[in-house]
Amino acid sequence: MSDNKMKSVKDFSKIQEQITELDPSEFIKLPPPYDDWVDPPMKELTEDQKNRLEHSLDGFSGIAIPKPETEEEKQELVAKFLSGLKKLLSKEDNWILLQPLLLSMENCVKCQSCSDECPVYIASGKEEIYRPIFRGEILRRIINKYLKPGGKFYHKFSGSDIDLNWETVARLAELSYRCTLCRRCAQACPIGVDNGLISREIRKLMSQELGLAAEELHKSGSMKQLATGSSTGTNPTAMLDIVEFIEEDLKDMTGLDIKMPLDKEDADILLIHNFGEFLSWPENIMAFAIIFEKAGINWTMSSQMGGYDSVNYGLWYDDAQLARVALEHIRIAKELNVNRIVMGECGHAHKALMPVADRILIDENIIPRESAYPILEEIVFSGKIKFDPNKNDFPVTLHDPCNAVRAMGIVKPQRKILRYLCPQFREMVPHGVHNYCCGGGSGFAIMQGKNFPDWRNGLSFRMKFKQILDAFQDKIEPSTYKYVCSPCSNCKGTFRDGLTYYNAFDKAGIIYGGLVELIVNAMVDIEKPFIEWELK
Amino acid sequence: MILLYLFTYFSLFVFIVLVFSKIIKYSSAPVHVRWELYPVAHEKNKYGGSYYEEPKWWKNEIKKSHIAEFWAMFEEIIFLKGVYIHNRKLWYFSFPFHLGLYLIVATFFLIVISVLFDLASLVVLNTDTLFVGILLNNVINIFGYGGLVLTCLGCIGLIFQRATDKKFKFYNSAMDFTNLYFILILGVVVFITLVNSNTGFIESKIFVKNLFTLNFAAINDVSFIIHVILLSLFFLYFPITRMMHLFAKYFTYHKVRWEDEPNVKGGKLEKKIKEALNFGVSWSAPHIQTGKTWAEVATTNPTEEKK
Ligand code: SF4
Ligand code: SF4
Repeated sequence: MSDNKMKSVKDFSKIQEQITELDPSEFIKLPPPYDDWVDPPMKELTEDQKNRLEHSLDGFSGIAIPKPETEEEKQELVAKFLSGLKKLLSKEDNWILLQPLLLSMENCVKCQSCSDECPVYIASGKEEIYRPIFRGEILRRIINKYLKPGGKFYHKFSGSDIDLNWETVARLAELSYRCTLCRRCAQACPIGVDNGLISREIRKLMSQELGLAAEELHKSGSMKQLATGSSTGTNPTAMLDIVEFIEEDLKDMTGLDIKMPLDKEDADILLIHNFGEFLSWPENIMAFAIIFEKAGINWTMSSQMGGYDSVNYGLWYDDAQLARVALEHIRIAKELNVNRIVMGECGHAHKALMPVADRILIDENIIPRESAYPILEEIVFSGKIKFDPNKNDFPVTLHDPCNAVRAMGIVKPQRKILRYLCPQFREMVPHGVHNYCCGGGSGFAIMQGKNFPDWRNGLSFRMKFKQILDAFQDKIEPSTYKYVCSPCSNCKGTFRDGLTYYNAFDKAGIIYGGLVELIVNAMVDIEKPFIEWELK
Repeated sequence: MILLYLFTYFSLFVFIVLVFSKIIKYSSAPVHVRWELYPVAHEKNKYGGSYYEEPKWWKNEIKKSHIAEFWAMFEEIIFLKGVYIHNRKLWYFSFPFHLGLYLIVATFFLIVISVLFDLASLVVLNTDTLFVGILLNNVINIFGYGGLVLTCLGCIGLIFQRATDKKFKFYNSAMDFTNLYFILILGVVVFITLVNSNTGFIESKIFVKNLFTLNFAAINDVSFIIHVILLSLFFLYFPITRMMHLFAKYFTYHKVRWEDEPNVKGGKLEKKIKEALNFGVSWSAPHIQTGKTWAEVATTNPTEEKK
């Protein structure tokens, strides 16, 4: 059993030592060839990190919260938390999500219908702090006790007490980064309570009031994107160099001499990729270019600040950053006078710019925004490109990125393509809008600091890994190469690290990649296999 | 006796005011960003697909199936479909409990209808020989007795589960039990009145008629007096508890989970967004640059000074 010291919810603020010690032997078991898999011990923080950083939740540090040095400092932070909480519940400061938040905070009946739907909670062997309602319950008790009239008096007797101290705030902040915001729990809730949203709103409070956020999301994420043009730090000049590089590689790989259209005015489509693709998976950029060129699409990409990186980490933690980055994307589309913006293979970028940012756009900023998946489907079935599905005759399964599928309902186009082009396509169970998150959602894919990657690889990725193995059980031997199609950059990042952690290529012959790579691999015109069988 | 009647009026009045204020609170919240979750019931694709599955979706007319929406809501409210799928053990008690409550609420409305019919001289309370009267009486009896039995049995099961199952115990608060015990005690008291002198809900009907006609006639049955007091207290208590999820559910489904209305130039939504963008921002983290409107914050680059 994991060593959880809480006997009741209120212990969350009372216990002085670390609340729980995870025990990997309690994590869900994996199917063959991992039936005898023994997890390596999860990395501990160094002594120095332990002295400096808050880690009293579960021993992991996702957002590196510095420990306050004095009692006054602690009190100041607690006061700030409370002032932030008031803002979170105010119309002016939080019109953006006030109604959904109030509904979720006020109506949970603690029926626990959501618990077993959470991949993190289940994969952990039902660790209490990861139960979907746990963080909401803490926040609810704080609101009821500290913000409602008579709350302090009432909650002494109601049996739903909680103390607000620095430990509570710090643990709650870390705890909001133990949820991938996948919203599977919300889907299961009969009332419509959204615990994923509650996690997201706690993150927002921490960021917008206390300035606390995962460094990879804020300082080296959205701030860097606003400063340089990309969260990777790539500025427009470097971007041009990289594109040139990719064009050369494309020629080497396929013999095709394709010039990427950049900053072309009046194009039909402005294609925006997650810039991670340019650096880590350039074959995705190439594949899009090949498909669009062969299909005769009038398209362009931008090389201008704000126009070449679709990521929008604000979606996961901060409304101001979300709006700023989205408006940059819109500005570029207006400057280029394109008909529509098309999101490449990146789930959270889809959700940020399409449905969510929809409600911050006015006047000329209301520009059509679309997903690449239906456009790819249209091209594949248009007859403009010739395919030979036998070129993809290996087991393929599909991962559904939560943001594009559960949160946007883009389910069928990618499946239709795979059913047509991949004779050995098989679904995961469950799939579509009921899929499991890759485990890297909400920024976890890029959070590489301290000991957090061990938590992600060993725990939050685990349910997805189990699904992948289950889907390939009939051909699980490593000599049969298998492909996990993941039409999302962040999910690919999780797969890269997770599959490496489990040594999945050597043990089971599993690699991952995007959707467009499979499309190009099946093209009759492309002679050499486009997919390389290695774990990159 | 007049106090009993006055207390009943008071509790009904407070109940209505509190329920309405809650509904107004939810419905008057400003526009929010889209946060839907698929499957969205009114979409034509049952597997959870949306209009985003079409290229150039923005050129198409977006069709909504209100029947599908109604059916999804019906399944959820009447059969507790979500609980059935995700928490079967709980459903065995939660379903009869809720169904029983619905039947009791229906009984209440049917009693009101009987009284109104009686006042309009269309029926005679409980002694009717006309088809409508007989029908009403029989339905009231079936719904009322059946509802009580189901509610009480469900309630006992839920109390037992909450008290014994680890996953509930950890989160239990006094209020979780108070709600259930309150309903159980109320149910038992109503039963006693039914066995005593309220057979066929005759006392209930007369009491409701008295309420309508401001006739503060004496009531001799002590158990019925206790029943009225408890029920009035319940009306006062209900709106301050999580039992309000009954009304909140409309908003969580229709205003969040299934709310996929796109924002179009010149539309109503755009107008609301413009209003919201003019709200002031007081968040105090440095990168927010507080003291501006949301429109200004969104168009400020917090890194610019540093460059
Ligand atoms: S969030 Fe929903 S499903 Fe989960 S305990 Fe609360 S009411 Fe039940
Ligand atoms: S959003 Fe996903 S990870 Fe977070 S609590 Fe819900 S199911 Fe678990």
